[in-house]
Amino acid sequence: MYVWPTRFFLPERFVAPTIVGRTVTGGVSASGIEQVGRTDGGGLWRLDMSGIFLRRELIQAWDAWTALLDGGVTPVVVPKSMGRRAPVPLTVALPEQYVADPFPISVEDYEPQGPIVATLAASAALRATQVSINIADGRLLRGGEHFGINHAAKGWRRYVVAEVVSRAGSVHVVKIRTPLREATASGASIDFNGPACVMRVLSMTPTDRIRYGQVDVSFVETFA
Amino acid sequence: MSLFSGAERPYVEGAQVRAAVLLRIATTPTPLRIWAGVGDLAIPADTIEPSGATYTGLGDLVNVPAVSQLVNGVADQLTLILSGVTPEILGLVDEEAESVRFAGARLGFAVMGADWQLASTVKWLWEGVVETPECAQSATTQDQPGARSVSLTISAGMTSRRRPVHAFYTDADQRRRSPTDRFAERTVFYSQGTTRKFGPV
Repeated sequence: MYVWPTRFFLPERFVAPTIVGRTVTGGVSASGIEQVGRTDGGGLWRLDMSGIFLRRELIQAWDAWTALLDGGVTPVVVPKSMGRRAPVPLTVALPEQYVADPFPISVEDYEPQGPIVATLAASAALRATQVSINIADGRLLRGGEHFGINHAAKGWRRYVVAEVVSRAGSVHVVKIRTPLREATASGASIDFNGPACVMRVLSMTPTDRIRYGQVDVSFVETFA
Repeated sequence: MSLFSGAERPYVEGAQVRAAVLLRIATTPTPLRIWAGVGDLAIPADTIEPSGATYTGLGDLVNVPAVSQLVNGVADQLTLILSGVTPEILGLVDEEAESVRFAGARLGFAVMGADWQLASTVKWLWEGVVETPECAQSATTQDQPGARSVSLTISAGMTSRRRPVHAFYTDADQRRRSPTDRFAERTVFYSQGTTRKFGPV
């Protein structure tokens, strides 16, 4: 698999992946009531990064990635750390996103590194939106923390804590979005350090300079 | 009899509705099961799926097509189009086309709660028959490259009829149906858009 080197292609400003969905509406009735519907089952992740400044060998690496991703038919694992928004222990350095090389290299698996240690405290069914998370090493959850799970069949999938329902010691019962992509057993590792998701590229601007350039890229979650 | 039970109705009547639209095509050996959402969806057992089933999401945000119930025998068609396929997919569709032709298809609808969990049983609203899949490739233009697409038409009713819905009451048409019938002999004297009153005024 290929892992996007986010730490090398840093956007101009911090961006967070967002969940996008599709709504349908029949319009507003004469009494002013509008009914809005969603049929996407919870939406999917999208990541837009703009203002990525390239120079020297990064330009060449960008061209290599453009060729490899084939206009969006090649899936890629895209890690995106949330920095201080992750439940990182206050006394420990910020988690880093581990990718050794800006050029595409096929790896066996994406292995995030960082100080936060968390696991699933209880088994969760497919499409579950409430899970139990045990934070063995890290700050207490408050909501808004992104995390990733490497599912057996669906691969790396990203989720966000929407609400902390209850907490008993280090075990948090939380509501998450998007719904769980695959049933997951108790004890499965949960990664808050560099949450990743299998995505495909929507658009990549080409480089128009030889020595430096500024480019944009957009990713969307894929199930290819 | 209402489509939704009393417990299910609040999820449909609210200002925000979360819905799941499912399509089941009775291909062999395994039915094709897809739904309009993202990711997999497990549904409970019902009359169409006696053992329950897992529906595969289309992996993207798709428009849900509009369907209508047949009334007075007007046939309906639903066409699903998948664009941007590879030549290999086109080849596979071409080879397997006959295996899906005339397979039964069903379109179902279910509502979900605020937690995106199913809050109702699946209502299988629409039933049709699959026609032969078609492959197409648009031409490459200066502004846009050509795209390969596969379309699948599902029909409800007699869409293979050759006769149109309307019949004409000209003398010639009526004579074809019944050679000695003079019923439509004088329709040529009617002006278009006029009406004649019959019976006592």
